[in-house]
Amino acid sequence: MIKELYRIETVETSLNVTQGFVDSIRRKHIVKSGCRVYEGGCIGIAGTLGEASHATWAQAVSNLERKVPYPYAPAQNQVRKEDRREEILDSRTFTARTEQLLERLRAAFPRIIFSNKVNMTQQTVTLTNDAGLDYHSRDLVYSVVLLAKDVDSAAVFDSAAQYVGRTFDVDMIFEDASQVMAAHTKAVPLPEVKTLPLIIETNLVTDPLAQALNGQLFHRNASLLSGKTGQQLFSPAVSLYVDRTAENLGETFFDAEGSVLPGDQCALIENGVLLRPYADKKTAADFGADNTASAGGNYNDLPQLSVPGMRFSSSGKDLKELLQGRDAAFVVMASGGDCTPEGMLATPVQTSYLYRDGKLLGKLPEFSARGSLFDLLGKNYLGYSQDKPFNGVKCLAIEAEITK
Amino acid sequence: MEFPAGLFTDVRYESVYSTTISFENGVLKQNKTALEQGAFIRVFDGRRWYYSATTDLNSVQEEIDGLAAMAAPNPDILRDPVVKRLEANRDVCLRYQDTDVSKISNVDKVAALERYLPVVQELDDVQMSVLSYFDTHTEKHIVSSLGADVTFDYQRASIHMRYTFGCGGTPFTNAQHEYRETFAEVTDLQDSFRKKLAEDWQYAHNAVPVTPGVYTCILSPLVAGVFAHESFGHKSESDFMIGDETMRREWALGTRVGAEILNIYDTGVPTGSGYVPYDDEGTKARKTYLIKDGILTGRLHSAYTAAALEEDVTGNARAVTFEFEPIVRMTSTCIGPGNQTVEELFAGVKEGVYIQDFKHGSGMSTFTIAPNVAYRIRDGKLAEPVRIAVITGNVMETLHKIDSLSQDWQLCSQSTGGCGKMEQFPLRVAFGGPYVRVRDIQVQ
Repeated sequence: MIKELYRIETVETSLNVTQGFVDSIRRKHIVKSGCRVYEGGCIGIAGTLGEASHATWAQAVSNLERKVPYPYAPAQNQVRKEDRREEILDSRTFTARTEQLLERLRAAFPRIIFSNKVNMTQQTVTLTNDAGLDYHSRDLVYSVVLLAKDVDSAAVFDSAAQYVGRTFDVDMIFEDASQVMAAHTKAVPLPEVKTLPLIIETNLVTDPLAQALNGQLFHRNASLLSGKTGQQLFSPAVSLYVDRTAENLGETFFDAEGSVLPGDQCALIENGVLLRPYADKKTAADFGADNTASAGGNYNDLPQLSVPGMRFSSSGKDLKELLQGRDAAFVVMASGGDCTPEGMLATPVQTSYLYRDGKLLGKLPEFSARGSLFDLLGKNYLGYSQDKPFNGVKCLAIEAEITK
Repeated sequence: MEFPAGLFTDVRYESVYSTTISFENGVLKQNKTALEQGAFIRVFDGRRWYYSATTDLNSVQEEIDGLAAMAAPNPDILRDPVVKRLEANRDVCLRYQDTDVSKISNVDKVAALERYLPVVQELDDVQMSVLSYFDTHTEKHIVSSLGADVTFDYQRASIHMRYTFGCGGTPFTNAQHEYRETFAEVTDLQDSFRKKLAEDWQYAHNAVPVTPGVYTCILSPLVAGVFAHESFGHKSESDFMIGDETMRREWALGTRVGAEILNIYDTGVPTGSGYVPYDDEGTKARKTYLIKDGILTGRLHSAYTAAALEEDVTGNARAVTFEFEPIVRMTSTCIGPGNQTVEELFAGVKEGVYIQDFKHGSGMSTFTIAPNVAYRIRDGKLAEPVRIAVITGNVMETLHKIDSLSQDWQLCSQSTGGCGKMEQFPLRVAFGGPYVRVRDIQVQ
């Protein structure tokens, strides 16, 4: 019998902002412990909030009687500890810096009301067992999600100032937010075109791709991409990776089964060619597929195939170069869209700004965007920037059909 | 427990028992029983709130004292308008003790679920299936420095089937579920699933892409409830209005915001996935009309927002788990019934779309619903099944374009998922409504 502990410790300071001021401080220190025992091709799991006790382990052993199959070898004889934190602030300093940021935003944009959350979250994940496995991963991420609303607006909110990263540089966050907020105060018309380059965060296209790249669905002919391995489906400029590197904020280098990847990444699509779907140990065993370290689940779950963190490869150009002087819409909010089974993606774009030559010129009216996933990542794929022009993240540029 | 002087303090204890059993393609994949206990502590000095979440129930006093050290004692705290609105109810409302799902053996739960396995295996072209049993029994205990002492519970048991049909390269994924309050009620619902799966099979294998355009749509009761939640419910959550004179002016009670036949309300009283007998600061549940006869009539509040807007609490301060503070959230959000038959609603549509089921929705100035099952309407009759990515409309225009409501009305509980609001997801809510006919919806 092998005994394994999956432990997740979260320490967080969360500041709530109302009317541009911090009105509450929440502190959290939560430990979640999942005890796993492996024997005879089965797994017994029991979990508890707080540290695992003798009773938790006894329950895990007892749960072997439930005969939940798990005929895969647990990770063994591996030791790796990684601390991805960069700037470590105490709660008091973090609060003081947030108040500085808010003070500058209030002064610079007196006609915009800011609200919502600024968080500092440290997570430590460990997977250890008595067969020599000892994995530790720690990260500390700062996130700013400040909803912005014109004082004259009757909307719930109109835009957002956002940032996510491992440092909390007030000057940098303020400058980023200022670009968006300055543009927000000036309305500009939607260009009279049928298609328009959109500057988006990657999840607008990776969310529908995640369903299609699910290894179980893929190998059971239940995916839009089933049977298309080795085919040139997308632009040669498109490469998509499972990403467990430090570039992926808050990600661990191992998955919930203790699987790791060479270089902490694995290509699913390379130069537009579909190489493989994402897979956990079960999927790899069921179909003779590659394990892409894509097991997830709650602390007390049997590890299961889950959408991994995914990243496009950089096109090696800044956003400005990718757009080659063309006007584009920098999308702050495109919420509620979806994709049909044949891959037609449609979404309203609630908040966006006209981008020209590296600058945001003004706020665009709301519009709808649509396109086939194969086109958006095919002939209409413009690239993934190497720079982080907005919100502390790289940007994806695609061209989509638009309607008012 | 000692509450510090000059401060308001409350503690919310939560104990959540849950079971998850799943068969993936007929093979046992998950069999989990969990008991999670934690506490959320709030201290308020009249200027700022201080919160702490802990799993160490023996450290609650220590947490209170720690938060109090950050606060500034306020001798007038009892006269603070927020504190004056906090109810000091004392009640024990435990309605699920006799049917507590934690008392049912795991063996019985697995056996009950296994009896559903043939249902999904009877159909061809099922490429992937996950059959699940879920239950939860939640007990909450809220005490405060004002003397509140409320204990209550809620419970659910449900069967959930998720499946994907191959459909020759355009795979169709959907899920069906049955939500009940006790284990005994979910052991014998196979026929209901058979019917739903057979309908889905027909839809999946015959649906064609919709021609994008603007249509009159008829929404099923479930989708109508989602529409109410997304289109107007979120706008009624008053935390968005604090200190905002424009919002207060634009959203003045008494303003016409929709068609005369339109009534929308929120209530935590009915049992189901929106049942909340007391909210997470101990306020008793009640029914709150948001729109009555097309007129803006009310909004949803916590004590904090009610004080800021000089209105009354409504029992809508809710947290997704003990790790979060209560914020203003919906419970069961419903459109009230009308006076037409379903046949009369359809008869009035020459060219339209019927939205039967949904994947997700969202609501800002524009609402969105991503349909999962939809049909064209031609000459007042249900016609061919169609695949749609999303339907959208401007909220404030669309509420005026509702022209007919059915007498038939349903309250729909949800077995999985829930409402998301910023960092807190998923919160259990329910949706209620009649069949709703609405003009000029953008369909893509």
